[in-house]
Amino acid sequence: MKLSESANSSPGSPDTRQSIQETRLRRHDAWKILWPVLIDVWIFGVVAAFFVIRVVDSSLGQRVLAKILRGHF
Amino acid sequence: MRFAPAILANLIFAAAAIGYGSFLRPLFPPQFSRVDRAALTLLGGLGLLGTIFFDLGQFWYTKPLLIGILAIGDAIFLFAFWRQLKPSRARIALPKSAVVAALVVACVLAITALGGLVRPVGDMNDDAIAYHFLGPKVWLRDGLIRPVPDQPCTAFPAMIEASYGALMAAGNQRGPNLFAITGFLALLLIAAALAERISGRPSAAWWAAALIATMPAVYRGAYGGFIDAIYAAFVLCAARVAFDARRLSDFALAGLFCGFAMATKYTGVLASAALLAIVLAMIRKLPELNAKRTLQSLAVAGAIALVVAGPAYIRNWLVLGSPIYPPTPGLLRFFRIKYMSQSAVQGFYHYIRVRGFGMGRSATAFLLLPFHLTYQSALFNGAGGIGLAPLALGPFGLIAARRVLFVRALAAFALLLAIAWFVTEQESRFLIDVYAIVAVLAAVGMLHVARWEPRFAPFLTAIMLACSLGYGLFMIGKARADDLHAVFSRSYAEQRQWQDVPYLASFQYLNGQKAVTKVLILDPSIAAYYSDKDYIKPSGAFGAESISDPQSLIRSEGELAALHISHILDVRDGNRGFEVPAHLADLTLVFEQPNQRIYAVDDGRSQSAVSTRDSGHDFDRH
Repeated sequence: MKLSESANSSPGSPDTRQSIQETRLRRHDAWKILWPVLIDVWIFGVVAAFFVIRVVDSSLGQRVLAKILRGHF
Repeated sequence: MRFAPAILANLIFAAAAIGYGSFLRPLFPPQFSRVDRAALTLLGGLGLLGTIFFDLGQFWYTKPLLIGILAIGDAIFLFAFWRQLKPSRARIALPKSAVVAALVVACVLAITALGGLVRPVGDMNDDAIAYHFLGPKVWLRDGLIRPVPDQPCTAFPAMIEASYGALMAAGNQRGPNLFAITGFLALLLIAAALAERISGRPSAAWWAAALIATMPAVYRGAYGGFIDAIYAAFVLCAARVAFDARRLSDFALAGLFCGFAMATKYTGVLASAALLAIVLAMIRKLPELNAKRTLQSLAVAGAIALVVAGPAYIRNWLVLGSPIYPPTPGLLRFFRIKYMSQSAVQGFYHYIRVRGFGMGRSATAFLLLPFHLTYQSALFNGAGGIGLAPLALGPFGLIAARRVLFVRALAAFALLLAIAWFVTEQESRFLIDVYAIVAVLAAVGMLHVARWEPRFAPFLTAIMLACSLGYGLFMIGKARADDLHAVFSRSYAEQRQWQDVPYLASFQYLNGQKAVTKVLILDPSIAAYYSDKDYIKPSGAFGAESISDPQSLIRSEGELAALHISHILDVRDGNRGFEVPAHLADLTLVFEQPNQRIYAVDDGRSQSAVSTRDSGHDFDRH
């Protein structure tokens, strides 16, 4: 569809400009939804990684991990 | 009362620094905020004062002179500065959103102030005992600043150490320890100034200060004689001024701070080069900057930096044979140096390479640096890391302010500093300038994240901050727990002294006897800092040798007499036995304790009897 549309409309025509604008708007809307999620996931990930590493790095964590890896759990 | 001299000396010192710093106020750009001005005044004053002490110290470094210089600074502070301070101007803006940050900063500063009251203890593994405090103590005794032959690190740029000597002169040995509060405050002030410059919000300034204050890796470089925090503050001052510089006076001020950085640490040369590269790149982006005039201004800035820092490097060249001492392996081909052999210098740099290996030097290791510095700080001797905020919020701060040229310049500067650190020595506290910049970006990011994602981000940010600040405070409190305990408990302080000061009994004896004039210290692992008497240490740190054959020295009465040595301190540890052979003629054993012996050189002035008890000398008088 897009190919035929673009073939029928010249690069500077109002149809093409409108189509580009619509694409931009759609991207903008998608970004507006994605960006806050990205922020949440990033901050949550940093905090979660801190706890995971603290637990894994602890002596208890190391012992549990060693048992899991040996299949004793 | 035992703390009063140190407190008084530091108050006098800080007031003198502000006094001298007030000379720089006409150079400050008019658009600079109050926080900017406060930071630049304090740090400028500290730099000027240190430069005066160091430069004059090459000729005279006596107690009256040092106190006189401080008194002049205090007079300037009282008559020129204090009268200008009006209550309304001195008020600090504290928004409600920054109350927690202010409390955190106050808490860390209180720990620093209290912990700074302890008397320095430790062995040769403690840099403060090994050289930061040793140098000033020896220089004060000699009345002259000269590198201590047995400790190559006393040849490092010593602007701050020269100030430590003034604090010892005006107070006592606790004085330089308490200086941590001034240095740390200066770093927080300039970081707050940067945050306010970028965001225009006082709350960002407070949060930047709080994030930095709770970074254990930053804190490690701020107390116990370490000069890394104040060095970073000088670098940040130079960046603050340089990236907004338009007039000749702005560039001159930036050059002055570059000079202070280079006069504090060798790495200041790299930081100044990085700053120059960024400013040159900025010329193309700023149409209002005339390229020719800017280059002239940069030449003036460079000249000022060289005038300020030059004496440290020229002195080394004249006295030790190389401007950078110990010279890097590359420089070693061009300079012949004193006191260290080629293999000793290579051993010194090998030690640095091994200690600063971090996570390696591959491209992947560099790209993973933000994660490693956040989660694996122990690999960089990180003392507890930098908290979570730089990684969690720093990128958002950078994105939010990406169009501001000042921020781009600051980020590029941080990148260049990080590269320089990565390829040289990956010691966490050597990266404090970068940590401060990313903390500033994190504080800016914090404001924007709440605006971009008002539903969950404030809650997640609060949890992240609680973890980060809480963990940082815990690590800092843990690191200073012994110091705080020693401040509040005299008996613990005494016990700690016996525990942490190697061969304390011998030093008590030597310091308490009038007949002791000059001590020969045979073991390189002995911390000569604790000797109040003049000393010679033939074999020093990192293979430094002030005398080529110490054994011949012991056996030759003539040589001992020629060096005016009155006593010999001989010790035994796990690796080596006593060095002085038993029943050596002309030496009398005058003091003996487990693993430690003191001999008097018989020249009619020696002691009459062997003492096996403590001399009763009040070591705590410092």
